[in-house]
Amino acid sequence: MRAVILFLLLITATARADSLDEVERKELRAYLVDLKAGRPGSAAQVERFAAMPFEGLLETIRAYTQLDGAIEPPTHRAFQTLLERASREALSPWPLLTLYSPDFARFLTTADNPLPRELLRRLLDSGNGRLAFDLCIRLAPVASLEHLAAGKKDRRTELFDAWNRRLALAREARPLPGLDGQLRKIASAFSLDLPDEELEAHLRFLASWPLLRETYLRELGRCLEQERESVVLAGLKVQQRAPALVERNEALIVRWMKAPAVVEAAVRNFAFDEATDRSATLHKLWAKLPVDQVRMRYQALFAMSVHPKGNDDFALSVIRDQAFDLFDPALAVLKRGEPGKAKEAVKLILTKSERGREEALRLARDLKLAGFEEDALAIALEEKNDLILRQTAMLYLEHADGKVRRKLLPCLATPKPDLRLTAIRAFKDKTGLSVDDQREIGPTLIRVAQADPSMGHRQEVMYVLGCWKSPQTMEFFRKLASDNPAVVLSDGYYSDARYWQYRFRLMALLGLARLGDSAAKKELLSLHAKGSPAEKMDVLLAFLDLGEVPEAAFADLDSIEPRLVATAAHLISSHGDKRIKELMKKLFASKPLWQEYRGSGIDDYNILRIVEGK
Amino acid sequence: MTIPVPFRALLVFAVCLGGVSAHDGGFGHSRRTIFADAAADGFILEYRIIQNRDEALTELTIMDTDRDGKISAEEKENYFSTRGRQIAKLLDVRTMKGQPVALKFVDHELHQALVQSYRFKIESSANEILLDDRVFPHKPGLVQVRHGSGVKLEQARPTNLAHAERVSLRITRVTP
Repeated sequence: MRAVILFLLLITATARADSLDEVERKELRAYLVDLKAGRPGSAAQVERFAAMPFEGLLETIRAYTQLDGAIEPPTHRAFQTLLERASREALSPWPLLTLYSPDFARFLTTADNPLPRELLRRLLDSGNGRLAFDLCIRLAPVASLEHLAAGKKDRRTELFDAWNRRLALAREARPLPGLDGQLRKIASAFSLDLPDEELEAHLRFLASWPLLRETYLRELGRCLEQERESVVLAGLKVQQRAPALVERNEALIVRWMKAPAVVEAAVRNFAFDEATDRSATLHKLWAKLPVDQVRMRYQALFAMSVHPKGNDDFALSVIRDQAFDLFDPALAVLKRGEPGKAKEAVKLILTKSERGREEALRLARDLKLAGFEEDALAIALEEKNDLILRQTAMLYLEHADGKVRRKLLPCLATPKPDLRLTAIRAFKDKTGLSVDDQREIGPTLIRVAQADPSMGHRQEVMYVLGCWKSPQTMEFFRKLASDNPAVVLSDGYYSDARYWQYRFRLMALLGLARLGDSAAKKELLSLHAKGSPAEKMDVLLAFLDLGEVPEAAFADLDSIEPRLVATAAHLISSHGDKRIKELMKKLFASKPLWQEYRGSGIDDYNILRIVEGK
Repeated sequence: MTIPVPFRALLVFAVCLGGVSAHDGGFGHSRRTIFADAAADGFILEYRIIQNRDEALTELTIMDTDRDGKISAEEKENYFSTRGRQIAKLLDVRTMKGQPVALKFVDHELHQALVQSYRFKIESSANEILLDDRVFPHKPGLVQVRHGSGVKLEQARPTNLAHAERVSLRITRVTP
């Protein structure tokens, strides 16, 4: 791997060239000649060509489609791998594609272009599996729809599957010519007599296009009413992906009670229909599910975790019966039910069961259920216990009173870094710590902040001490600031020493700002003003902790770094007043291109949802 | 899907990364190629950035100054010329004696793979110059270093090019 990276990085071009493109074009041509000659592909070369211009992509497609004679599987693989790596942006939001490469955009959306058809044919015949079909959809969308609309039998299921994979990630935003007509033709060819695999793929294809919604509902209804189990199952599989007609599942379950696969799928699908409360239906169904059908009951509890109203008694009975296989969904139902029942379940598990203790403690922590401190402490301190179980117990104890938490102090010196980190976090909440507790715990934490072998752990302790907002920590934070003079990371070369100096000063400033030190806050704002996006984001995150929105945060909504935009939006949305939230909404509404994020599958930071306050 | 993490979670992130790459700023990785060659009156420099989709789309919202949802030729030209000049300021070129050398933005090109390629002219009769790339202090990433036959390019300061922030290169004119 290291050799590949080195190879990638230290390439040197020897020929005189006017531009990087020309150098790379020559290398691409040489690589294509090699592939045509049957020589094997190279991962390192493919990575180098990832940024090839459209002309290079076109040359690759031509070279592939013009191969003569029998083509060996490795050659297909080599060409397709290169095409896959270099053409990923074919599925980018349309305005991006048209801006960066209008020629590529035209290539993808022109109806009477023979090259995509030739490429489709070559890919379909290649026998190279999923990659080939995904490339059909990516690079020959019009031709692939023509193929399906013409009713051609060849590789039909695989093409539907490839379209379904593509549409599951993002809507089709490319203006494909004649799309509506092609879709209607394809929809009209749906039949319950299709082979099972094709039927499911075809039905899901119908479900994937808003234009075909009516057809999907009609055909799904027909599937669910069918007498053939395979057809009903295909319908249910698609129903899970595109929930619709779920109200018919109750009757369907009763009708198919002797077919466990159908019942399991039909019950499970209630979980995917969050628009309607299905609690009562599931309540009724539970009694009808045979006790020995564990999988059916598992799916029912799974669905009840989404529709929990009145169903926590069933979950509690599962715990009482020690039906271990059902613990996970049962605890998920109890999490959304009456706390008293959840508490009883946790008690049962911690006292009578060797299994499910981690999940039970997590439930107790999530619902802030008191009363299990001694159990948790015993679990946390027992060396023989599984590490994650011990950590879960420690996290449960983060709200326990000081007497209990003081017993965790020895864990701050454990050589196990993960456990030590969790132990540090268990002291974050000052509530429940008496003055005496703080007098014992505080100095211990300060010692860890100064001497832990891991800088990351030291930083975590500094953060925890800051959360205490205790005047007694003022001196500690002042010293921390004095030991770590201001440094702007972007001003120099990276070094671990500079990085931790920067981070520790940030912790000092945050700790002091929490204690009302206006100079610390001013320095944070100054860091925001002169720092790179990384420093700006750190400051915004600090203000997120402080629960304040500095004016400067608004300007970050215009950053070219989406993560910084998201963080600023999150800060404003969490702690901004009504005025600034409205201003943010107006700003986004005034920039229509933000809407391109919707349904694009690339809004990893949920910017639009944050702005909309969801 | 992720949502912006609270401060505490970022700390956890930093701790988890402890021994590997403590300086990840949470912005993902940059991908760039630096290419240099000799010209009759100096050097040419190409600086290629490969954007991620979300970065490129966010950039588009800024490019669209009239906020009509479309990028006109003028908006495109204005944005990338301004960006090219910004990048020029972040590429520090000096002679071996430390004297600053002017680097002039020439033009830009876009490619289908969300590639932004900026071309610069370095007017200098020196045989050897130093280039310090400060464009991505917040976003370390993969840097490819390429050159034409008129120059030799080597690192002036050792950096892991698979995960680099600042990159310092010595560009030396050679006879092809």
